Amino acid sequence: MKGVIFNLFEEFIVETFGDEAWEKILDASPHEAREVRVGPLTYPDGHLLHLVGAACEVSGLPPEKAVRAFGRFLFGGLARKYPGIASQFAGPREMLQGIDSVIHVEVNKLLPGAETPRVLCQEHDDGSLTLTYESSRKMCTLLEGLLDGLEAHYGVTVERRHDVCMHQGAPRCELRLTFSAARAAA
Amino acid sequence: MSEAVLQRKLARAEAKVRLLESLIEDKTRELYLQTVALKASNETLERIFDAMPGPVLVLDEHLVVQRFNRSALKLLEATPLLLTGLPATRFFPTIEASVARVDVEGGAVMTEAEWRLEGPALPVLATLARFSDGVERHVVVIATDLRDRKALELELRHAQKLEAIGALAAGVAHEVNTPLQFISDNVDFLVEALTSFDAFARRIEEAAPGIWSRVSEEPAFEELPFFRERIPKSLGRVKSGLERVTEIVRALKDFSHPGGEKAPVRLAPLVHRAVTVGRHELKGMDVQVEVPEGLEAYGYESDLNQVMLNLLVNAAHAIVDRHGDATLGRIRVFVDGGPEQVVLHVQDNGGGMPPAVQARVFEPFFTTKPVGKGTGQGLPICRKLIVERHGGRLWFDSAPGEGTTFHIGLPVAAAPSSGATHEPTRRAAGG
Ligand code: HEM
Ligand SMILES: Nc1ncnc2c1ncn2[C@@H]1O[C@H](COP(=O)(O)OP(=O)(O)OP(=O)(O)O)[C@@H](O)[C@H]1O
Ligand SMILES: [Mg+2]
Repeated sequence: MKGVIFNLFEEFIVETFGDEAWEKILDASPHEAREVRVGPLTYPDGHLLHLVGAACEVSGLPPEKAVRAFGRFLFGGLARKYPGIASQFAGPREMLQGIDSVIHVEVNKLLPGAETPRVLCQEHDDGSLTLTYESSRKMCTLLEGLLDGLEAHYGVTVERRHDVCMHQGAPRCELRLTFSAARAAA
Repeated sequence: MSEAVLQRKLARAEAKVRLLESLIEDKTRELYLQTVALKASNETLERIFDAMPGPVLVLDEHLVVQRFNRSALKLLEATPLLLTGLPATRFFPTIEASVARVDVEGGAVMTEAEWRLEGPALPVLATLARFSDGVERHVVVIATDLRDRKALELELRHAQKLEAIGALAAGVAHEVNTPLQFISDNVDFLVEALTSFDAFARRIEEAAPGIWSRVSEEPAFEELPFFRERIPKSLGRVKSGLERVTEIVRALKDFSHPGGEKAPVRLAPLVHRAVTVGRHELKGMDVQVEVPEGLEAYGYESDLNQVMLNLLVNAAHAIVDRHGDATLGRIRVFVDGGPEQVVLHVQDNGGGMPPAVQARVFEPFFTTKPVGKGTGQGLPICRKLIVERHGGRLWFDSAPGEGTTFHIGLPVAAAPSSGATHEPTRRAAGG
């Protein structure tokens, strides 16, 4: 995984739980997981898992919840870090349809060697979308979090039915997405 | 935030900066090396592009010239400064229609076009295609210079015309031959009859001496003695005139006899024939043919006829050009050679050629003669016939103000590689 993701994870922890929490997480992690990282370089996925595990211990959050919350934060972080990539879509649908053919393609130009997942969309007559996710990392929880971030970013609600999942032995995850306008403005 | 946490954060930030610096250095070095490699490969491509014998032009979306190779510059006789940024319509007026065809048909489109920049119009075969370098769309144009081909087509047409004239002459000669024979037979009859009448008159004179002079004193027969004396001479002249015409007709017939196979060709009759056919141009000149009877070369007789006639006519023109008076002209046709090659020389005392003319005489359409008198195709055709069809040589020596000698080197026999037997150089006379 790229250093950017690690560093956004650090930001996420610091913003949510404070500086001290991050230091505790580092102290609770194995030595090799503590190294300093920079955005464009690639680090072992295992290190991220160690950090997430330590974060759960320190914060008391169950891993599912922690990863999903990080996904929501990650979306905002990536959109902020790469405004040129994120700003070219008219709406959430367009963005989802552009993940594979535009977003992750651009990501690979900026961060050579990035191992981005395959995220494809299929449109239905009723306006819903089927999004398929395929990755050896099987990080569909992170995906859900990213979708939460997408909702917040565009101010829409995206109903999801995640009936087909890699964690249940499917070759890929399938999410049926239904869009509705933003919840009544507060 | 505690002091300790701050310290740790600072230490990590410093480590990050160091890491980033070394990362930047690595990338910079990598970039440098890649730029060098890219430049080298770019230069190689550029050199290949430039060395390509065919003219190539790369245009942008708006058909403005972006790149071109050296052949393109040469073809258009342009400077790089002129060509860069020039709209291609300036020299290729029909390009827009051709590009439209590329867009409809896809792939590459070939089209014959006339290009013209500063100089004369250039016939070219242009091949157009579109390509994209990932950033921009371009049109690439590859040109083939058609000037040589056009010249060749003209030359062929000229040769075909000559052939047609030849066939026509042969036909006319054939037609003329029959009445000629008929006239000749009648003249023979008249000579015979007159001889008989003369003998008869002599017998009467013997029987009645003085009768001849008495009769011829009568006014009605006044001219009889004159007739008696002149008619045989006059008929003799008619006869020799007829022989000359017969000879010309036969020469014409033989001369224009279409090619056929390569075979041993007797050179003496060939030269005499060409002199006969070209007699109008050679009139009044002293033409000496010193070619041994029986000497042969190996080739196409009709080709050699044409070459010999061309050289003789050129010589005659050069003589008239120099002297204005044909009677001062001297042309000598003579030979030498070895067992495998015979060399025919056509020497004239015409005006010769200055070096600038000498350098160009074999160029198609090069002529110094006024329109109507020369087309400049004689020598190029001769060269082609001798060199390409016979594997021979055609060259010359010329001294301005003194004269010119053309040399034709021809094989004596079929090439040994073709398995033919070796022919002797000279044959017994009269064969
Ligand atoms: C501005 C928009 C985005 C940027 C710049 C971006 C960039 C990235 C980067 C850098 C990675 C890490 C790849 C690696 O380290 O090998 C990544 C992974 C990932 N991206 Fe995106 N991404 C964007 C939007 C999205 C969206 C909208 C989704 C889905 C809703 C998505 C789904 C994922 C997932 C699930 C991963 C985790 C890796 C995996 O599952 O194998 N991304 N992305
Ligand atoms: N014997 C010669 N003496 C001097 N100049 C000659 C002689 N033969 C050829 N040339 C020069 O070479 C030119 C080219 O000769 P070439 O036979 O090819 O063409 P041409 O005689 O001008 O025309 P064409 O033969 O087609 O009627 C002539 O115009 C003349 O200037
Ligand atoms: Mg000539």
